[in-house]
Amino acid sequence: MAKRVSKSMSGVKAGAGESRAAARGTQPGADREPQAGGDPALIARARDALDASIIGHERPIAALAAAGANGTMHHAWIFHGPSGVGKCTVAMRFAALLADRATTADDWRSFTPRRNGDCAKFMRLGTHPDIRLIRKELAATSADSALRDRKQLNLPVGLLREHIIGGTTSDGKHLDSPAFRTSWMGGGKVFIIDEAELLDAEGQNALLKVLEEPPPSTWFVLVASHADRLLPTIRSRCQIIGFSPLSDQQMSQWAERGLTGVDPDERAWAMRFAAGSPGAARAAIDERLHDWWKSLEPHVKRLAAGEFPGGAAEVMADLVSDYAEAAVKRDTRASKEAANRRALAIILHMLAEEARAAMRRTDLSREDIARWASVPGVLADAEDAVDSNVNLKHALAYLVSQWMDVFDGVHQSQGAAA
Amino acid sequence: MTTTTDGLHLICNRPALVEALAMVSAVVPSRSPAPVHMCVKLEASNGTLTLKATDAEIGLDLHLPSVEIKSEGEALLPAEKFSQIVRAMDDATVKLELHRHAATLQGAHSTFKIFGHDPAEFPGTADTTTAVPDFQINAGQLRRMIVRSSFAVATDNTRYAIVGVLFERKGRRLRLVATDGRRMAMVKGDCASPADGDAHFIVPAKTMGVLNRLLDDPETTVRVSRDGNRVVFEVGDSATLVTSLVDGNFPPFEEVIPKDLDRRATFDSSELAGAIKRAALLTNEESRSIKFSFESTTLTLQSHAADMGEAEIIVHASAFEGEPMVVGFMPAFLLDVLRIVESTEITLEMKSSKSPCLIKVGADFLYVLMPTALGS
Repeated sequence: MAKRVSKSMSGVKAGAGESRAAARGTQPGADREPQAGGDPALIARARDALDASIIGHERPIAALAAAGANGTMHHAWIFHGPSGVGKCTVAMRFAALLADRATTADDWRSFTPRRNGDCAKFMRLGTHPDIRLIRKELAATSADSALRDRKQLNLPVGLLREHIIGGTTSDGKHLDSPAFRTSWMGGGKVFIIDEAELLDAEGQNALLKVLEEPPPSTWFVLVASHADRLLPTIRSRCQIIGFSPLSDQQMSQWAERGLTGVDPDERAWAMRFAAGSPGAARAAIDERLHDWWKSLEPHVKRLAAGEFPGGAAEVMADLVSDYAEAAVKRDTRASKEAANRRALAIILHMLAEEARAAMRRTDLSREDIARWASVPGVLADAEDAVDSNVNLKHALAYLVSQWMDVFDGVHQSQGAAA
Repeated sequence: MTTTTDGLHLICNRPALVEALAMVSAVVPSRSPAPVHMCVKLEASNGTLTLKATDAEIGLDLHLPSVEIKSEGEALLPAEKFSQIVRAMDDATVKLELHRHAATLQGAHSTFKIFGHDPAEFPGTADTTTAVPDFQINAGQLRRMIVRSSFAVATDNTRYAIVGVLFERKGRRLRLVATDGRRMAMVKGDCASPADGDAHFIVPAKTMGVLNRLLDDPETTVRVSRDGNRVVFEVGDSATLVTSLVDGNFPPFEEVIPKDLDRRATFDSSELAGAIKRAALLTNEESRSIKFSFESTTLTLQSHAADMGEAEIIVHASAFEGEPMVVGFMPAFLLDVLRIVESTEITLEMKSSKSPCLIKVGADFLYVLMPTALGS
């Protein structure tokens, strides 16, 4: 069950770069400000990695720092842990250290890359030629039209061919392997695969060879919220390093810097929603998720009271639909299907957090706690239904009916308890 | 954003600009998550306009001297749209002015404005100041060597080390070698001003294509330098190409060159090519090879494609030494080499139907071709 719960909460983090890229509008006219020319996702991640201090993750960082300082660096790593906790930020800082040929043992020991110099400059500009961040959204800028038309729900093997391993595209073009090119700037080459659990089986198998016999001075970081979805053959070739949610104290420390100028109520709600994930807290503020919760909360209260929440499924469906339409309007290259899934993941995460909070309450009966404990399974069923291409509205209506089944009779039990 | 690029103002010969943009566009990727990689950078200074493009694996600087620079500066413009506009204009010259990263292109009766990026964001191409000279070579000779080698580069990317052309320099002797595992082309030549020691590096196939296009003037000198992990080709004063290299070990190609070959057949190149083309008409995906039967000075080519038919073509060899033999070859692999040889005669040297065939053209080119298995 735990696995299913975590699945429903995946993907709730700030879409670093993409959301900012999407926010870039076209402003016709002579005074149009020039737009950033680099990869927006790299720019956002690089600035987080280079210009801000990393909070938490002391153990993973210590392991990486020791390997770098001792010169015993393994060529392939899996960074796994909950979504939005900072795995990719650590991966980018790790990449900055590996890619900069001037990195010293002291830099490794402090896990601090040089903040000046060409390596940092091109990272901040999002044009570093030796650091590649492979993510599902890259399909939108693929040279292969078949990839561009995809829904950006997974990491197809075509993206790996284009950005790492080379090969023949679906339209018969031969691609060189970027992994087997010498580095442009003379340091190391680093390939970061974000949400690596989204690699399909063909992609994972295609990656095996390069993980087995990597070119010199080339490193791979697979960032995954669900490392168990990677093939055992992939996992066995990588050093696996775990990341945990930040503690309440660490989240507060992060919020001092990351959530300045935010309304206190909204901030408090975002911190509860985030559950130790700065990425999720950032997303909560950027995407005004507190407003989502305000529209959902009355329905959730009725559900919890065993009452029929008229219109609950419609409210959730409208939130998903509005979110997806806005995402596509902001950025025509965005996938509406991917935005739908993301919005659904946000709603399911809110409901899961509500269940989790309820289970921590001390005033509930054993029966009520059991009811709340069943909620994550209900949410996972709804997500599975959408994954199986069940119509979203039907899946949400099914979720509501399942929830009502679980809470059926809660009146009587509360009455009996009273 | 900076306004340092404001002030770029120049008048350029339009056909020359069209040609230069076509050249740099060979480097620019059609799509990229980083918009600057789809851009061309313009740098106008000291009476020269330099166009720069990079895809993070190849960088190209192209210099245009015939430009009237009214005000020096830089611009970073989307290559495809810029190129389309300049091609579509019908004026002899084009005037380009920059204001806040937006370029105005003006002809006699047309004006275009395209929005660019901050030139400071351009990732950079070659830095010849840090490159260490390795050797020099005449452009005509280098082009001939490229043509005679790069056609054999592997397109199957599962063997990473052979997706480029090996440059191997020993003193003044330079060899370019390419293979796809089923055939190998090797061409030799001399270079000038070699650095101490030997050198070898594998240049990716895409770079070879771009470099070949830069070698129009056979009298130009090409200076080849090493810049860390990269190689720099300076083509006279007109272009500088910098490339990353294939990161791998080229297979020991000398071991593949067959020795003790006891059969030699010499043909007129165009006659043999014509005969192979005719025989290849009746091959298909299942039976792609042609059966070569050598007997005295007669070569019989036989092909067979199930459900289509079969062909038998006879070619006369101008000379044949050794015992008769039967061997199978892929027609495309022989036609590739016949297409690039400039000699009127070609000699095939063989040992058996299972050992590789050697084709030598002059003293500086050899081609090794693996035979195919013949059906019953």
